[in-house]
Order: sequence, then structure tokens, then C-alpha cells
Amino acid sequence: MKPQIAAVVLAHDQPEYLAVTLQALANQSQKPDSILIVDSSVNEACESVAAEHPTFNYLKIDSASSLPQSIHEAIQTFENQPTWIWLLHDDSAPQKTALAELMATAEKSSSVALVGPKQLRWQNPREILQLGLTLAPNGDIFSPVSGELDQSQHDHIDDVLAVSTAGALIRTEPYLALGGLAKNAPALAADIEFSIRARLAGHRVLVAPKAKIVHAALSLQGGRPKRWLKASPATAVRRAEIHLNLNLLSPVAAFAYWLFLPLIAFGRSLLAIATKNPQRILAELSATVWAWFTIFARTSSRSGIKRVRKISYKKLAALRATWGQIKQSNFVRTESELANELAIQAATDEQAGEQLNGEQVKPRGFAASGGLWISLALLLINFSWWPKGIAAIGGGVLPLADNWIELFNRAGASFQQIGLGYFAPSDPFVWVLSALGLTTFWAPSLSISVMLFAFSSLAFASAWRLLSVLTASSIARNLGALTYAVFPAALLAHNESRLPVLVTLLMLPIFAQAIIEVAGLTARSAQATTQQRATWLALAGLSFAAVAASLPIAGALGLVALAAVAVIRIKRIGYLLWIPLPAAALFGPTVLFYWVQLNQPLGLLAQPGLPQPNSQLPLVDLSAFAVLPIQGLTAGHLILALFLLSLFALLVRGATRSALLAIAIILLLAGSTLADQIQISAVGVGSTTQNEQSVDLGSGGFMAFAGLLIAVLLANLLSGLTRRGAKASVATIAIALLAVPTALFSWSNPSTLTYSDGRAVPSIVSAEAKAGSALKLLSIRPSLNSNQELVFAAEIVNGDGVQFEDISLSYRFAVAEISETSPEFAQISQLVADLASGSTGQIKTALNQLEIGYVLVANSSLQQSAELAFSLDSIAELEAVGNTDFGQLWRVREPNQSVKTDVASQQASWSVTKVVQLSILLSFGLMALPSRNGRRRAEDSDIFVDENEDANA
Amino acid sequence: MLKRLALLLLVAAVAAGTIFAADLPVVKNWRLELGQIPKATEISVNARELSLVCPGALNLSGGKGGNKLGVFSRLNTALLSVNQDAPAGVSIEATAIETETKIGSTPERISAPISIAAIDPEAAAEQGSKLLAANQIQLASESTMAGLAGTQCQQPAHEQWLIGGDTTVGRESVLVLTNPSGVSATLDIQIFNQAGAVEAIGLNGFAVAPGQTQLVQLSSIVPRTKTFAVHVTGQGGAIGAWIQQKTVRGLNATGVDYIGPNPAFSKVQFVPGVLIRGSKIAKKLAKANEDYVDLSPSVRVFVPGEKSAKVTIQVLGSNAKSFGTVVQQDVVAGRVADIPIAGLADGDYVAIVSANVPIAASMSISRVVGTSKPKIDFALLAAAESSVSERAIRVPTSGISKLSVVNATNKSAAVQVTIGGQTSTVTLQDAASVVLQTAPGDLVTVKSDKAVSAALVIDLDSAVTVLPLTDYKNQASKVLVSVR
Repeated sequence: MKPQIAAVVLAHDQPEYLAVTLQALANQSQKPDSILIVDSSVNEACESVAAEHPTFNYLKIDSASSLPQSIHEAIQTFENQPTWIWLLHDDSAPQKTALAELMATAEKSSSVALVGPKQLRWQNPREILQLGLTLAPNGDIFSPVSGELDQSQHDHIDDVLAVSTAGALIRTEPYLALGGLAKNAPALAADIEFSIRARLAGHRVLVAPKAKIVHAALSLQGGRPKRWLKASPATAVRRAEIHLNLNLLSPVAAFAYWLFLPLIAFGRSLLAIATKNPQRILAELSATVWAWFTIFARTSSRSGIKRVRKISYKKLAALRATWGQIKQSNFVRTESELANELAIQAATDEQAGEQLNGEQVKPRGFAASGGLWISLALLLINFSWWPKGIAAIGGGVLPLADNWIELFNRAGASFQQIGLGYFAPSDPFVWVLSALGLTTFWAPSLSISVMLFAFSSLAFASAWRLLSVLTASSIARNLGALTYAVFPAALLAHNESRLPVLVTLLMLPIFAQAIIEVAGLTARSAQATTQQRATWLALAGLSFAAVAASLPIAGALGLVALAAVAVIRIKRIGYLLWIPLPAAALFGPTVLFYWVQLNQPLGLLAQPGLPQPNSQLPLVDLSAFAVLPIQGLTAGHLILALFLLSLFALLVRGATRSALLAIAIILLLAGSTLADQIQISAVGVGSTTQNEQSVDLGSGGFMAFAGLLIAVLLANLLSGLTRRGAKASVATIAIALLAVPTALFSWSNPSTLTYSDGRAVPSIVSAEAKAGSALKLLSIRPSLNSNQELVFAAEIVNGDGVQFEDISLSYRFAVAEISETSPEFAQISQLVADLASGSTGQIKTALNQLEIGYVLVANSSLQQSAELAFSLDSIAELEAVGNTDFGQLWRVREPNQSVKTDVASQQASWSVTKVVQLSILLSFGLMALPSRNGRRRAEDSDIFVDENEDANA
Repeated sequence: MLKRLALLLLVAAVAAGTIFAADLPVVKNWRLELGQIPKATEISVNARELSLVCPGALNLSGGKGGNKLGVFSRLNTALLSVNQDAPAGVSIEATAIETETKIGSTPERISAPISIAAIDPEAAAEQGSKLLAANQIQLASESTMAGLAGTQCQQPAHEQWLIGGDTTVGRESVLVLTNPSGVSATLDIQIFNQAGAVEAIGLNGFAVAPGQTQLVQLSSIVPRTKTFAVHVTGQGGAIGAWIQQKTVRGLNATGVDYIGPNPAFSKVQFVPGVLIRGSKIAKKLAKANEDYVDLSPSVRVFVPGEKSAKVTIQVLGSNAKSFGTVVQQDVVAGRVADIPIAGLADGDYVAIVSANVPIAASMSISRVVGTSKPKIDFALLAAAESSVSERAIRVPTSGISKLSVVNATNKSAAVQVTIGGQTSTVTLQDAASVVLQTAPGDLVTVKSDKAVSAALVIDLDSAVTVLPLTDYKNQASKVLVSVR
């Protein structure tokens, strides 16, 4: 007897797709015996489409009906139960011979319960979307064949673990006998679960590779209303996977799986980050919560499976995917994506190539364009900065902790071991120091020394990399990058070792490039894959955090830039919004503290690190040439000259963009002047070694942005000039403006840093601290206040001394109040006065109570320093140790023994905020790591290898 | 092209607007201060206890026989004169430094160094030489040491300049370093002579143990040097420092005295108490024998720093009978020079040493009595401090003493002098001086409305010594401390 075939088309508000599907159904070489359109649409459009096929039956059902309910309603409609039901979704159009091929396969065996077609991509019918489904060893749903061109290479496949319901031919009898699709199963698990149930009941589940349907997979593409899947596609997939695991695993394993679901979710979230799929995290977490709290509904299918099971689930192992298959499948998919990407890259490179003398110019790499040589020359100019020891001391730098773990402990800490102990969030800049120190983890201070030496080269490379995405012209890239690397403000900042400014200068081009890539502002970046965009997003987030933590004012400017880009590329706002996340995490506790505790919200804009006054150095000192009307060229003169030169960019192509950049530069320069009018208290940790009472807010942030924009503008000008003579003239002027002052400045202002082994206190104090003593050091320095009165500045320092990470910006805002209210501060004041006057007073008691083991008179040129030393010499409680690198030192003869022998009580170095901060930073760090795809791309890029070099040579 | 020009104009307009806005007073004068600088706390600190150290008896080199190298022995005792009019609540305590034993009331004569302190637990008494002052004199009449040596007891300090010393043949300079503290003192000694700073081994890191006195034969450092100055700096305990200078001409001991620390460098230094006696005999002796040339008065000047000095020495008579003289000489920076003061007849004088840069100065005078076998002694006069504050000195109970006072300003000064309870007011014009007789054991005080310098000249058995009046004081103070 000829089997009866009923085609059931499930329609749900997709009239256009339905029309195509119905037409395809009508064109079948083998006609189904009956055709039923089951419409759960909210709108009427599908009904109209169905009406165009009068021979097709039409059934309108409730729009909230699930897939099992829809099928059930359809079966109920048939007067005579058909042998086969051919289930079609409205977005799955069968090719002409699909049913015939399905039937041919179905007839192979009487035990066949389900036959699935080969699903081809709707948008590209040459590409296979799916050919059967299976489960990975970890229970994830896996489509073994996907993303490949259909070359009949998989047409030998027949038995599979499961098939999707789209285009599936289902034998009605076993379907009903097995209970149909599970009602409690999530939408995307129902068909797989039913397939596996059929398998366990002894039926076969086959695919018919020659039966082809084109499938739009609207559910997974997010093309259907949310009510269809009851969650986002990613969440729905994860829900399906969890559901299947909870039903298919043994009871004990299923319970353990449920119990450890949160941990599993955490691990999978990390994996998602590492594989540049952070969007999966939310799905992972929400599916976990859903499964955790609907455990009984999840396991309701277990009884159904148990009822029909004839064979063990383990026996289906051969039909499940192995890790090897998954790896191979991913590899094939990646290769395919890479091929597409390289094609795009080639096209955009061609587009970016410049017409010079009528010839197409291929962009050159870093080495081929001469960038490497310039970079080396900059290293040579900085030879006086060669690290002569581990830790650089001077300008704005101090040694870091000699152990990276200690340094890391200070990052994100809410208790500072400074003074007498200070409860406040550590500066976000400490995270930057920790990251920097990690590069030379065995001696963290060395990282600063090396960075100071290589700063100009690194800044050049960083800017070159940015300009390489903006212009293909080698000269534009090189001169633009050079402008940035030796920008007058950068030279001064480097000379004064202003570490926060230097870090900002290094990170800013990376941030700018990452923004460009994320927002797709260039032809190439517009075509980037999701994973590439995730990498750039992470890089943008981290570099922005570094910039903001180093120079908060630059962070504020970065936010403005980010907002501007978001306006220009509103489509990318979904990505751009995530960029400030790491910075927000670092600044969260700090912002609250400044706002609520200190009532100094504007203080957030202040520069962390050691307070330094504005530079008074002339860039080029001409005072030796008495005949000249000016004493010297200042940074301002040269910045103005460079800006004026770069303004010629308005006369070449891209004038509008150049004009906007020029206006931005003007505003930045104006902002920098205003920033110099803001005074910030400079008295805080480590300030006994400094003279400044207050310093300017600093124009470093404004200048860094201005430098970068001038560099871009100049590069714009050079790449826009087509006449060789004009280009040569501009280049010559630029070189003269850059090279001559740089060489003269570097020659006349060599490094004044001193180098040490990393100690921040005399070795005897350091050694005692390392031996476990918690005794403190009282540092005293005579200085003259603004009224020329003698003031003894004093601070209590831990045994390991004032290290860079100890410098706290918030302490500078808090210390005035602390000094007025703290009884310990009053006691220190009295002690210092007694010591300074040589009065016996209560010196012994105070030294004991304040747990002071050493007294240091910091180096000073004031005569009063010697007088103070004389006084200390005559104090019986003190014993002179002698002169040290840090000043004159005295030892307390009988220090507080209980403290001396106790190991310093350490405050917890972890807190919830630190865990959150670290998690976010690590997540972004993981995402920022180049993926396999990304790595290959980097290697192939013309910057690092330049495969065209040989060809060009 | 038009578009580009328009954009250029737009940029120029923005630039002009920004410059205009930046020049507006409201923008230009805008200032914002974030954070407060912690205020320095003013702390009242009690003055340290006033404490003096006296060197004890003269140190005789070579032992009693005078022939043992590097051996010193103390010569008898010195007469100690102390002003101890302590108010209620203040006690004067003397301590034998070497044994660290309290010796109760101050002794009349001392052999070993002692320290004398005004113990004021409440810090109520005003410090000064009125509260505590001490000096010692000792008349030596040994074959190898003869003459009157006197000195003020010192407030221990970490730095002293001693302008004097001579290690030529027959002359001996012994640096006496006494550490009265309980802390070891580590000293660095710098010596400057006519050619500048002397490079010599063993001058740094000189240790003086607590309670000990270290004697240094300066001839071992600067042998056969006529003119030098010694700079002592130290860490650890504060010390007292003197140069004990003696002269032996042939077989005759012809003078001994102490050189005490000079006051701070200044462009004008005052040396009162230049009482010249026996000048004619001294001149004759000098003419006959070169070894007696140094009996003529001379001024020793040291010029610190890097700028050379044009030095002018005015020796002014204290009365109508004494005619002074003026000498000018350039002294190179970093060097010491002896400037002879020739032509001074017997009389009472003061010396005013001025220069274009800060200097230190001292003076040497001699006393010669008798013609056939003259008794010779010399006195080394350190410059005396100039001050308006009240200074006191107890006149030794032996010898004839005179007070010499000089106006250290260019305005008329009303000087109130109290000698043995009798107060008189002397008006001194610009640079004028006066010499007043005192009786043994008198308490002498000098107070003035203008700065004056004063010295007590003691004549005992035809030997002479001069003690500049010094105001000992530890300042109670207000100290500004900024804790951060």
C-alpha cells in the first residue's frame, strides 16, 4: 500500500518566506497526499499567502502555541492518519526533488522514524547549513556539517543522532507511540530530544543528503519574535543543551551536572571570552539560572525516555561527535572565514593604495618604510636613559615594590599601608603600575627604567601603527609618528619622567586605533568579523582604562572622543558602550570615595603619581647666543609651528576631516591653558622629599591628544599631497621642526635619573623590614613655607619606604583633615618638634607608641637640615647611623620590641571590588589576546613581516 | 577649492575666538584650587637645659718631665668662677665628665673637665649667662709652660671655628675636645692655613667617646705652621673644643692661653679687651731676636666661602690717651692671614675687624714685664659676640680684672653695667669703647639698648688672659611641623 504523506507547513508571521516555501512545496516532483498550513501568526498576512494556494488546507491556531502543540493540532486535523508527516517551517523551502529523495531514504528500512534533509543556507544555497545534528562530548548541540560548500562531499552520510524538524519526514506511528515532541522541552531541544528518544526506542534517524531544502533559520538568526523561542537565540540554544544533558545523563551525573551548573557556567563564560564570544556569557548565565530553578520541568522527559528505551544511551556513542570532529569542523569553518576576510583585506588594501606618479603604491611595512630605523635612532638619542640599575629614581618616578605580588596586592586595595594606615581605594594608576611591573615581574622597577629608555621608540611605533590604518603613505606614517614621538610636550614629560603622562602617550594611539577598528571607521575594519571586533573592543577597553587611570583628564577627553565616534557610528554603539567598562570598574570605588567621602569630585581629574610642578625648561636654549632677540624656543613655540604646518592639510583632500581635527586641536590647546590654572594640593605621601605645596592640574592629557591629532593632521597633509616637490618641502620643514629641537634638547638635557637596586629606604631599614620588623621610619625634612618660615615636614613611612605604589592621590585630598583630627598626627608633631629642638620631652614614649625604629632627615640643601641633624645627634634615645643615599639616618636605641619582633599584620589584599576589577580586566585581557585567526592576520600584516618586501625590493 | 578656503576661514575663526576668549579677564583670572594643604602645627618646645663644659686644668705635653712623646698630664688645677644665681626651682649641678658623677655644688678649682647644668624641670627660668655662666683661669709656672690661661666654659656644640694656633718652633697647639654627652661624637677636623685648606690624614671620623677628652697635637697635622684656623664639626654628642696654645722661647716658657670658639661669621667682628702693656720692651725684644716678633699684636683673619676679602682693622683707643691705628689687607678666600698691628703704644684698645664678606677674626696680644729677665705672656682674644641681651660673668677671685665694652653699632648706645651690685650707665658713641675696673669675685653684667661686645681682661702675676662675654642660651621656641 502506498504510504500516505501529509506535508505540514508551520507558519508564524513570515509571509515572504512562507510564499516561497509554499511555492516550492507546490513544485515538488513527488506531491504530498495532503498539505496543511498550520498558522500560529499574530497577523493575517500568512493567511493571505496561504489563500493563494487553494488546494492547500489551512489551520489557524493560537499564536502562543508551541511546536509540539502545533504538530499535535495538525495531526488531529487529519481524518485519516497519514503514514508520514513532512514537517516544513515557513522559512524552509524544499527543492523540487526533496520529498522524493526523503521518501527514497525512508523506504530503506521499516525502522526509520525520522529522515532529515540537507539544509542549505537561504542566502547562499551553495553552502550547507546543516546535515543532521549530534551532541558534542560535553553535551553541546553540534552540527557536524556546516558552513561548507555543497560539493556532494557528505552525500554518503545516512545515520545520524538527530535531525531538525525543518524539512524532516516523520513516521506518524512511532511519533505518536513515542509521545511526540516533549511539551516541556525548550524549542531548540524538542526535535533533538525526540530524535534521541526514537533512537533509544530502536528506530533509525537518517539524513537524505540528496533531499535539499533552503533554510533561513530565522529562529537562530533572531528573525522571529522573541515569543517563538522565549529567549534570545543564544540563550535558547544553551537552554536546549542544558535540558538535553539533564535528561540524557544518568541520574547521578544529571544531579551533579545540575549542582555544578553555576561553576560550569563560569568556566564556559571564561571560554567564551577567550574565544572572543563574550556575547555568549549572558546567554550562559541566564540559561543556567533558568535551568537551576526549573529543574523539575527539565527532568520531566526522563520518565518518557525511560518508558520507551530499548537500548542504552551509551550505545549511541558512535553517533555523537568526538572532539577531533569538532576541532576539524571548527578548522574548516575558520579557514572559510579567513578566506573571506583575506579577500576583503586584499580589496581594501587595493583601495587604500595611493596613486603616485600614476603607479599603484602598495603600503609598506614598518621595516620597509624605514620606521624601524627611525625607531632605532630614537633609542640612540635616548642613550643617556640607558638603565644603569634596576630602579630609576628622580623626576616623577620612584622604585616599585621589589616583589610583583606585593605590587599587585596594592592594586585595587581598600587599605593603604601609608602613614599610620589609610582606608581608601588605591589609585587606579596602581593597576597600571602592576601591569607595567608584570613585564619584568622578577624586578618590577626595571620595567619603568626600560620604559623610560625606550619611550620615544615605543611612542613612535605606537603612533606608526595607528597611522598605518589611516594612510598608506610611508612618509606620512613616519613623519606623523615622529611628530607624536618627539612632540615637544612629550619631550618635556619624558625629560621629567612624568610616568602617568608617558603611559598615556604610549597607550593613546592604541586606544585610537582600537576605536577606529571597533567602530569600523576604515574600509577594512568595517568588514571585520565579530571575533576581530571583540579583540579590538578589548584592546580599546584596556588601553582606555590605562589612559584614564594614568591621566584622568585624558580619560575624560577619551570619553568625549568615544561619544563622538558613537554619534558617527551609531550602529556600533552596542560595541562602543563596552569600552569604558574596565575604566569604570577601576574608577568605581574611587569615584564614590571622592564624591561621598572627600567631597572632591573634581579631584578625580588630578594626575596620580608624584606631584610635579610645570616644566620651566626651554626646549632649545638660545641664551648662549646673546645677539638673538629671544632666550630660547619653548615647547609652545614649536607646538604652534607644527600646528600651523599641519593646517595645510585643509588644502588637500579630506579637508572637512582636517578642519574638524584642527578645531579639536585648538580647543585642546585652550583646554591645556585652563588646566594650568587649576591648583592641586601636592602634600601627601612622599612629599617630605619635595618642595612643592601645590601643583597645576597639568596639561599632559590635553597635550597628548593635541600631539596625536597634529600627527594625524600632518600625516593627512603628507598623504594628500600629490606633487613631489610640495611633499618634499613639507617633509623637510617638518623634519627641521622635529629633529633639530629634539637633538638639541636631548643633548642639553640628558637624563638626571639616578639608579638603585630598588630600595626606597637605607639598606639597614630595608633589611630589618625584610626580616619581619614592622617598625616605621620617621622622615623629617626642614623646608621654608611661602612666608619663608621654617617648617619641619614629617611623615611616617613603612619599613620598606615610600614606593611608587604608595603614592596616593586621594591621600593628598584627605591629609588636611586627617592632620587636624588625628591624635596620632598631633603626637608626631610634638615628637618632631622635640626632636628638632633637642628637647627631651616625651621622646621615648612617643617613639615607642608610634612604633618608630628609625629617623631619617631627608636630603636638603637648607642649613636647617644640618641643625636638625645636630639636634638629633644629641638625643640620647637615638643613635646616629650615618649618611645614606636618602639622607642622614638615626636608629632608635630601644624601639618598641613587640613591634620589632612581630611580623607586620597584613591587611587582606583581596576584596569584592578587587575581584570584580580583576575579573573585568582579565576578561578584557583574554579577549584582547589575538585569536588563531587574529594571530595569522597579524603575522600576515605588512607591519610585522611584510611579505611584499622582497617583491618590492 | 572654495570649500577648502571656507574651512580654513572656519578654523581661523575658531582660533581667533579661542584666543579672544582666553584673553577675557574672567578666563585669564580664573583659578581653581583643589584640596587643602595641611596646615603646619605650631608646637611650643621648652628650651633644652642650659649646660656648660669646662676643659679643666692645662694639659702638659710630655708628662711632668716634658720628654714623653704623646703623653699629656694635667697641670694642677684651674680656678673656676661660676655665676649660679639660680632662681627658685632651678638647681645648678656640676658633673665630673670623665666619671659621670655628680659633684653637688660647683667646686672652686677643677682638674678634670666638668659640666655644669642649670636644672629647670619646669622650664620656667629665662636662660642666659645671668642664669648660668662659668669661666676658668689657671696660672702656670712650669719650666715648659708658664703664663695665664683662661677661657669661658662652653655650651657644647656640633660645630666650632677656632681662629688661632701656631706650631712653629717653640710653639705648641693642642686641640682639646671634650665630649660631655652620653653619646659618642664623631668629629671631622678641617684646618686652613695661609695657603688654604690643609690636606692631611686622620682628620675625619675622629671619635670622642662619651665623657672623654681627646687631645690632639696639631703639630702632627700642621707641623711648623704659624698661621692656621681649625674647624671642628661632628655628629653624635655635642662637644666643647679649645686650642691650648703655649710658647717656649729657648729654655723659657713664655706664655700660654686657650683659644675659644669664634662667634658666627660676620662682616664686622669686635675684639674688646685689647689692653696693651709693655709694648716698648716687646718691641726691643723683637728687634733683638726674631723669635720674639710675635709679641707684637696681630689680628688673625679667616675668610670662608669663595670670595676674597678686603679686610680693614681699626684699633681704637678706649680713652684719650690711647691712639689707635688702621690697617688694611686683602685676604684670599679660604685662607687664614695674620695681620700685624704695628705701632700700638701701651693703652686700652678695641679692635674692629671689618670686611666686604663675612669673616672670622681673633687677636693676639702680649704682656711683657721687666727688662732684664722679662716675664712674658700672651693672650689670644677671640672676637666677642655683639648683642643687646644681658650677659654676665663672674670675675675670678684672683688677679686684677677689667671690663672692656665696645659699641658694636654706628649709633649711640646706653650701656648698663653692673659690677658687684653697683649699676652704672655708660653712653658709648659709634664704635666707642670703655674700660671699667672690677673687683675679684664680682658678678658683672652688661646690658644695652644697642648691640655691644664686651670682654673681661684678667691680669694675674704679670700674665694676662681675656674672656669674651658670652650669652649662653637655648631658645625655647615655636616649631612649625607639617605631618603628612
